[in-house]
Amino acid sequence: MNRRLLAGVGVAVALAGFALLLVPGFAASLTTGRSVLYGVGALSFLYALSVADDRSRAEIEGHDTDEPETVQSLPAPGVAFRERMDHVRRRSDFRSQRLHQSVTEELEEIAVAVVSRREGCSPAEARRMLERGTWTDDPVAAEFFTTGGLRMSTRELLREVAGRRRPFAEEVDRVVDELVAVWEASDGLGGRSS
Amino acid sequence: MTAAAGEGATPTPEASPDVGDAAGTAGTHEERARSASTTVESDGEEEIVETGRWTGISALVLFAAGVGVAANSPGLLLASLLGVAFLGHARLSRAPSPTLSVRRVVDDPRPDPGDVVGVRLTVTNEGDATLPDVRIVDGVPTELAVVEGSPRCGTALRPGDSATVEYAVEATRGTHEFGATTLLARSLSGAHERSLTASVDTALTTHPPLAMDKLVPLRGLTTPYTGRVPTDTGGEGVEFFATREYRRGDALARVDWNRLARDGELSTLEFREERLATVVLVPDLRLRSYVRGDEDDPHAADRAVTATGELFSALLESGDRVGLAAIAHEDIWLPPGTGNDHRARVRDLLATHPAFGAERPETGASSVWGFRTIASRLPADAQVVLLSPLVDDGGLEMARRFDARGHDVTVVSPDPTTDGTVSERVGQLRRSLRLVQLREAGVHVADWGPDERLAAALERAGRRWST
Repeated sequence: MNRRLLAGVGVAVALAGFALLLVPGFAASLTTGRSVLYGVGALSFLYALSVADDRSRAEIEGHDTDEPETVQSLPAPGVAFRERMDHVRRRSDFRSQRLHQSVTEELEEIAVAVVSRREGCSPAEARRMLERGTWTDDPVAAEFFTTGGLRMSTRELLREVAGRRRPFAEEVDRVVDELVAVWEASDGLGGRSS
Repeated sequence: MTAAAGEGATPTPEASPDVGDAAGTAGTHEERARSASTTVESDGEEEIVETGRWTGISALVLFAAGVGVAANSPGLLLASLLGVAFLGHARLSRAPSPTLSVRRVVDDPRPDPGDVVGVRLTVTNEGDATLPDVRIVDGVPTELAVVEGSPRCGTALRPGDSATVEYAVEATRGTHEFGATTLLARSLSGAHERSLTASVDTALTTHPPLAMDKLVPLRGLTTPYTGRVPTDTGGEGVEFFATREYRRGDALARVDWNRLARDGELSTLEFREERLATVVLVPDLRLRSYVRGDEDDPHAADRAVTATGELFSALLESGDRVGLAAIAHEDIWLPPGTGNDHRARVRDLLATHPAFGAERPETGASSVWGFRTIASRLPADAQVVLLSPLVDDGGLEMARRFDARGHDVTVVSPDPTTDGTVSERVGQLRRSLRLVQLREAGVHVADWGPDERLAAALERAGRRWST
């Protein structure tokens, strides 16, 4: 709408200009008071602001030339987990429950393997330790596996959104740190010769 | 865009020596490897980008005009008219249609690993018009780091003028083809930009040194031939194995005279037999292996290939028969063999075969396909040395399957993990668990750290295996 209006005004002004060229005497009938000049100046000023605003938001365009100085970009191990956690951080609505579930399942699988080797017990016994929260002294990490699927409930998500529960990503950080600590303590990562 | 020698054009050799003998031919070949050139000419079909560089000036012009009119200032109004003239020029100008020749010269097309190789790219304006703004960006091979200079520059070129970009890369194993050179031609105002690419066929080929004199600890599966791998069979050898009752025909030198003197029983000493091993080296070059924790480090697939060369050299030196396969997007199988010709062939394969290229391929092989293809070719008495970073379960499964088929398996695992982020720590944990799983299954595993020499990693692993 605005564009049409402006185009119309532009055409009208252009026609008036041509008319002035063809019939110079027509200029005498035009009002050239200060108010008209102020009006033109104000319009020009406003349009300048609009253009400046557009420019401040726009990037300078150009062809992409990559970065030949650097070697090819390759992922680090763990990239799939990182992508899932990126999704988790971006979304904190009810649709993120499935993402939470898959991250929890992956961590649980790792935790069972780590705890069963540290304790020298069966995977089933390790899973019971996770459910009881007795595998670590860290209260946040211990709680992570204690309630199984319940922690993925709508109520828990509402608590997180309301800021009454620690964000899921933060809990994941604590669990992973604790798993690494347990693994290193049992000489899993501590030495390559092990 | 059209190209006189075109995109992917045949390189134009530089002036060759005017001799026709073998030496002259070799010289021409060498010169062709060092230097190549092509010419690109715009046909007006290339994508032109409006850069938007003058948009901000429009605002200034309007502002000056507005204030000039409102303040009744002829000076400001005149200044804005100058701006309008510039804007009109920017709007009406077009990106130039250049004709450019591009020539790339490398100091040494066959450097050794670690050599710093100089590269000179010369771009000449072959057209009749001056090019007010040309941006040149060379296509450096993706796995070569620029260590000196810069592969890009911006300049103006009169007809017949040339600009030279000089930089140096550090050579690493493999064949590294240079990518297309990007040439951006801008109008004088910089408002429009035309992009052209020039493909100049140049490559650096670096052969691995194949130098490791450390004995590689091997498993017990051997051939019937005498070699250096200790077996659990008594017979000829140097290490004491057992004593048995004397049999007619036993050599007197092997009679246990001490026992005869002590107990009066005639017995014969037996030594641990040492046999020749047949080993097939299998680097895991699936797409999953193209990972690295640090940008300054070679990726895991590259380290696996480098280790393959070192192990091949060491095993060949110790008299074993060594073969080569790979789980990669390109099939490769070299049956076990010995000798200098075999060594030279493997060295060449590791430098030039597409399966061993340093650049991550577009497609990859699956672990199942790789296992089946290689397993069908393996001699029954062959040991397998699998070189895998074990960053997914595919490497783990392959090692188990080779083991299940009766091949003694050793896994040499270049470690690409880091512990910088949570996800990287998860990747590290998962890999560590795979190593443990393999060890629990009786597979020998050597965990090879990023800053560690392969020989040191094998020595450390060997101590563990011998306990």
